[in-house]
Amino acid sequence: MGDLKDLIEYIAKALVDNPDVVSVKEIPGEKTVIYELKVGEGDLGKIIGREGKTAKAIRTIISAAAMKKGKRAVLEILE
Amino acid sequence: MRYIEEEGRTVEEALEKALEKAGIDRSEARFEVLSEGLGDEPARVRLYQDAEELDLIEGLIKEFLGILTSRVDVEIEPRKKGYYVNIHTRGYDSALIGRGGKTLEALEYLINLMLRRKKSNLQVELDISHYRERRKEFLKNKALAVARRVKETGKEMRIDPLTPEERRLVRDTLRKDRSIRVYLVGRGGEATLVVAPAKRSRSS
Repeated sequence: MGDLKDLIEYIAKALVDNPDVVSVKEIPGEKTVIYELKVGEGDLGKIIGREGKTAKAIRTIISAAAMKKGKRAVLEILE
Repeated sequence: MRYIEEEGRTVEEALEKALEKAGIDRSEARFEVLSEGLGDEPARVRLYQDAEELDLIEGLIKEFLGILTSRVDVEIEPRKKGYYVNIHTRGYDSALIGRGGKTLEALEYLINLMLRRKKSNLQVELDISHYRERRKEFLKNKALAVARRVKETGKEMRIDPLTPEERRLVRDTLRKDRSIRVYLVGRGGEATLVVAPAKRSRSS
C-alpha cells in the first residue's frame, strides 16, 4: 500500500516546519499495516494538533483509504 | 486567467450578479462588458477572478488526493466566507465521505490546515459529489415533515442525533414556525432535538 505511505508523507510535510526530515516507514502485516511517521524535533505538536485533533483526522483518512483496499492501517507518530 | 460570466437586463444588474457570485468587492473588480444589453439581447459581463487562491486550492486537492486515485475533479464556488469546494474522485467518493460524513469532516479539517499554512485565512467548505448539499436538503425536508406530524398529533417527536451543525440547520428551518418549539435534550454525542407543539395540547 505504497500510496498510503505517500499520503501520510504528503500530509505530514504540508503541516510541519521541517519537511525535509519527515519520514514514513511501512511495516507490512497480514491484515494490518503499521506506518511509523517520524517528524523533526519540535514538529510533533503540528502533527498531533490541539487535543489530538490533527492526529485523529489523519488516522480517520488513512483508515478509510486502507479499508477501501480491505486492510487495516495503524499510524504511529514519533519524534 | 479565471473568470465568470453573468447576464442581466442591464450591465449593472449583470455585474451585480457576478460580483455577488464571485464574492468580489466592487472596488477591486476587473471586468469586461461583453454585451450592452440593447433590444432583446441580455447584458453580459465577464468578471475576472483572483486566480491565486483558486489555483492554490485546486492544486493542493489534486496533488493530495491524486496520490489515492487516478482522477480528481474539483469545482470551486466562492462563498461569503471562503469557498465551497465540491470534489469528485474516481472510486473513492464513498470511502472519503465515510459513515455520517465523518471522513469528509476529517478531510476538510486537514485540507484547511494545509491551505492555511500556504495562505492564512484561506478557508473552504469541502463537499464530495454534493453529499453535504444533499444531506442538508434531506434534513430540511425531514424537519418540515416532523413539524407537520407534531402539529397533526399534538405530540412531541425526537429527531435522531445529529451533528451540531446539522442541529443548527434543523432549528433554522423551523425557526419561523410559531406553532412548534424545538429544544435539546441530553449532552455531547447523545444530544437529541425534540420538536414539540408550542402550546401544550391539553391546555388549549
